[in-house]
Amino acid sequence: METAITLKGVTREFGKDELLVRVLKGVDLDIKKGEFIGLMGKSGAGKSTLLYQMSLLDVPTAGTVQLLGESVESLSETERVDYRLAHLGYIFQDYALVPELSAEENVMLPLTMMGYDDGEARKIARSALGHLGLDDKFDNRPNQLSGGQQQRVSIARAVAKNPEILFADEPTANLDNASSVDVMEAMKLLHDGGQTIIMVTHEHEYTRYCTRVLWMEDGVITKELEPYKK
Amino acid sequence: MIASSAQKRKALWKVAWKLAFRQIQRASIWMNLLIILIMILTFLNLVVITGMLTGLMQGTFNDNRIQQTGDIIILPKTGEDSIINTYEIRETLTNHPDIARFTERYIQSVTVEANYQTRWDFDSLENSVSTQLTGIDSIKEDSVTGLSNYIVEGEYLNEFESGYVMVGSGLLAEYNAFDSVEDSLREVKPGTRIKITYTGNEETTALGAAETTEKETIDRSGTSVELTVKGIIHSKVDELSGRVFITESDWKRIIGQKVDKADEIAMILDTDVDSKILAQELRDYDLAKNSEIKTAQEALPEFLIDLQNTFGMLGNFSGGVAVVVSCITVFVLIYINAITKRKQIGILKGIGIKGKAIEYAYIMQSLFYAIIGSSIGFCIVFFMLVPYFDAYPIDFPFSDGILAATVSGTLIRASILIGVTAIAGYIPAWLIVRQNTLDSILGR
Repeated sequence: METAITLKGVTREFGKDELLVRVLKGVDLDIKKGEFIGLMGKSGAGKSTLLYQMSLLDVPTAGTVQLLGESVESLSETERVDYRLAHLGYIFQDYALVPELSAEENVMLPLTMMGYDDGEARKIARSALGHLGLDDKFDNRPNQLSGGQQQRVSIARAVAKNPEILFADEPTANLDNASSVDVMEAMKLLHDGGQTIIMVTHEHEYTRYCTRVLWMEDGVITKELEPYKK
Repeated sequence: MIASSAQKRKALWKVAWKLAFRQIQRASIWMNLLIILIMILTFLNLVVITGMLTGLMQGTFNDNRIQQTGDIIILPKTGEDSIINTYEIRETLTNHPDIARFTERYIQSVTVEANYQTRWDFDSLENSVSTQLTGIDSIKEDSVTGLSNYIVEGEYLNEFESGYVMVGSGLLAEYNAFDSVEDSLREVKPGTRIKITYTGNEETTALGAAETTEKETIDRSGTSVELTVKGIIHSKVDELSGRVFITESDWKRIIGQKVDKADEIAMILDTDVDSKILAQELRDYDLAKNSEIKTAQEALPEFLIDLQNTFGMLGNFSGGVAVVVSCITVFVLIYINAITKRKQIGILKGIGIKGKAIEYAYIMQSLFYAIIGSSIGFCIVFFMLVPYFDAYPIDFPFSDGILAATVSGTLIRASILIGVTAIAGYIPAWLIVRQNTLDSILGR
């Protein structure tokens, strides 16, 4: 199986001298294409920071990051934006939808940025929203949707452009149980279709959808857990 | 999908447009109206304050042109008492196809005295002023300057009557509340008899003679005639309000001068004829060898030109301040808008929306407010304020103040405002967009 992500000695430090905080302490990791990784750990363990290194939202202090076989640490800020648009999808904890745009327009936005014309972008957006059970919510703005629906719009936005790797930062943290299950089912469907997913979560229960669960402690991956089983 | 660079640029603008359009559409209507109101006021500040300052001088210029100089005025050459080649000029003007009409004026320095019949005590103050007696063809003068429109008491001179004068209100105490009584005539009304005494030499030649004719100088100092006031002329142009007018026929009869050398020739041109070009054409005819040919603008008194320049500078300064204020206002508005959306901007960058698209979205918003505000301001200026001030000019001592605003000048000011506003919208967006994406998302 092809490698999606390779991390070697990834270190991330904040501050200087006596105020120096080392959040990641030389993380090594290989993730294959098609894997659904659950990243767990206590607060402050470095899960989100590690996700930011992999998703090009942050630059490691030391170590190398390879995405899809390509070394990416030296990319400029503009190149990182382009790379994220072309290859990566991102689901935020708080949905992060543009409040002024409808559900459909939110999903269309990255597609338009990629150069799709309006007709194509709309078709893809509606298809993605339809797959996530939002057929009747195309024109609703985020404030007219429930938390679960907003998160599904966020997922539709992330996957509509068919990214090679999908990152999810605690996607169920702000949702009730039923909505969380809906969102996780949606992600399972994507994974079943071959999508590579890396998800940070606090909820062990939802690791049942994962193929691999990694436990982080004090800035390093300390062990691999068994996915949750009922 | 692999997009070409042209497609990428198009995509950039489409995303920017979508973001800008929806942000304006979904913003509070009151906030939109407030921003547009600020832009309207800024535009009005930029155009109206400058326009009023310029308008004061424009009003002066208009009054001078309409009531005194016409489109072009011919004056004696420096060092000469009168226009030596009047005959030649008259012939040229009569036959020129672009000159609609013209009038000649003959001027003599005089002293005017009133109520001299009742001044028994020669130690008491004389009721007199020094002024210029101006001989006019009342019909031609009226056709060029509309002089009869400025009669406020009595009647306009009839070319076929004799023994009458019109007196400018500037010479009368009743119209000059702030002048000292020594500088004005008191108790002069239509029907009042006044005594006119010549105070200067007059040089004469035979009627219709060429400039080569031998000159004869007659000293008329001290010679007096009695005339009756027929009308009072009131105007803010000194040359009207400060003179006494008699008919050309009386001028010939009383002064004894055969009319051949005018002191002023004012003319009105056909519509669409450029006065500068025609003035140059007249100079090229060699008419200027014995006279000075000036456009209305060139004939403005020096102090008015200085005032015009000073007011223009003040107007530009005021306009500049207005632009800076609007720039700061828009900057603050956009900065607050962008800073409150810092996290959203970070997320947009996080999902791959280019920073340029976000910046362009803010520029578009600024342009929207600037264009709408300027357009409404433009309509207010040209459909409300300009017609209003034309109908009800501001009453200033030396002119009727109008709002001087040309379409081209206003469009230039609007363009400056729009351009500056776009920059003021871009800078805060750029400041926020250039911040680290993750810091923006996490609010660090």
